[in-house]
Amino acid sequence: MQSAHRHVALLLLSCATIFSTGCSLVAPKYTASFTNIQELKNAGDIQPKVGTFTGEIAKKSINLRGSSLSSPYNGSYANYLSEALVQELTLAGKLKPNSNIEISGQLLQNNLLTGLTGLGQGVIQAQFVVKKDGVVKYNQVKTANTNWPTSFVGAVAIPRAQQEYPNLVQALLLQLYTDKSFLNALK
Amino acid sequence: MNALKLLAPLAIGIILGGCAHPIVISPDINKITPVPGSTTIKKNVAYYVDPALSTKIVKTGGGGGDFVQYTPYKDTEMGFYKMLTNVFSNVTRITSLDKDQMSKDSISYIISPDLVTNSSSSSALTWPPTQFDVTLTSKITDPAGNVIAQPSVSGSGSASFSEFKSDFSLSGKRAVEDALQKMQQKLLATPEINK
Repeated sequence: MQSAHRHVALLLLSCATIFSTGCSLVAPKYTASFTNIQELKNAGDIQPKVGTFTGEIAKKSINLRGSSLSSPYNGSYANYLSEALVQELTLAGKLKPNSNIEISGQLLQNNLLTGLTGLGQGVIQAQFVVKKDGVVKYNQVKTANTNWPTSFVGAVAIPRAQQEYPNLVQALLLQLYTDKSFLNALK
Repeated sequence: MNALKLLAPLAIGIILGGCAHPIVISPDINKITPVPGSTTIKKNVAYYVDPALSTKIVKTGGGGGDFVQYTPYKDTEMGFYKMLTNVFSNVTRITSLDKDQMSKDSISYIISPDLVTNSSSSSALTWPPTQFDVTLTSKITDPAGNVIAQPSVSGSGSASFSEFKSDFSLSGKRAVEDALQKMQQKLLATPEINK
């Protein structure tokens, strides 16, 4: 009987290990989106530079079923946002490092929720500010949400959520690039 | 004892289930850098991937009898595009082979990737691949569909446990970066497109 209890305990421990790995993970580096690059290409004569992004939650890792997901850019999700902007502006041929027009901002919300069933949910919110010669031309908050199929098994659900982070940032930047007042502020 | 009978098949199913773990093999774009001292080929080229391939899911080996699954064409599209912009003066991504549009855009060549991937792990205890290999072929045609050249390269990437424990896709990303850097050099040295 004692042996049976020991076996049950071992099996439960195995399951706990599988479902809750408790790892320290790093989000994938940003990969630009063709849709976003095309929006920037279509924006006409814009040549901004990218300034500093901040935020109290920038250095906070995201909790994925007990595993912590940190940013690959010096552990800062604010840096992730500025890197994403730099990458897409560069690939669209619109980045001008010595420009008098600067995009900066603040990360306000940043989370990935991965439940045991149904859909995982991502939410990101940031304030974007455009300044021309130091004068504010644009100041708005943008929010994006994404969903993806999650899994009961942590070894599937956790990497899937980890891989969703670049898609969440792509969705946020698409909100920004399709805002005509943002593009007008860059001219 | 009854609990043991109930839990045992569940645990064995989970542990030995041969799971297909999702990974993404997108390379770090900042690592796809131009060949030092090279000049771009002054041509307008189009980058085209068959839409059916963009969503194709591939399953290859991982560790402990498990598998990894990924979408190689979708994952590598931005890296391939960046590599082409390092080689050609103007690159346009097209989603259909519209001859009128290509004529309007003065497209000289259409370039489409072909990817063959494989992965494995030396570990019986962890599922992420420790070794990843990719064969990348660039099919280059003119707007009429005539094949101009088909340069091919092999890229490989490896990752140890201490490296991949924070990035399960690491060996795949490294293999793609290696293949793209090699393809860049191969394209610059392909005489048919340097005329």
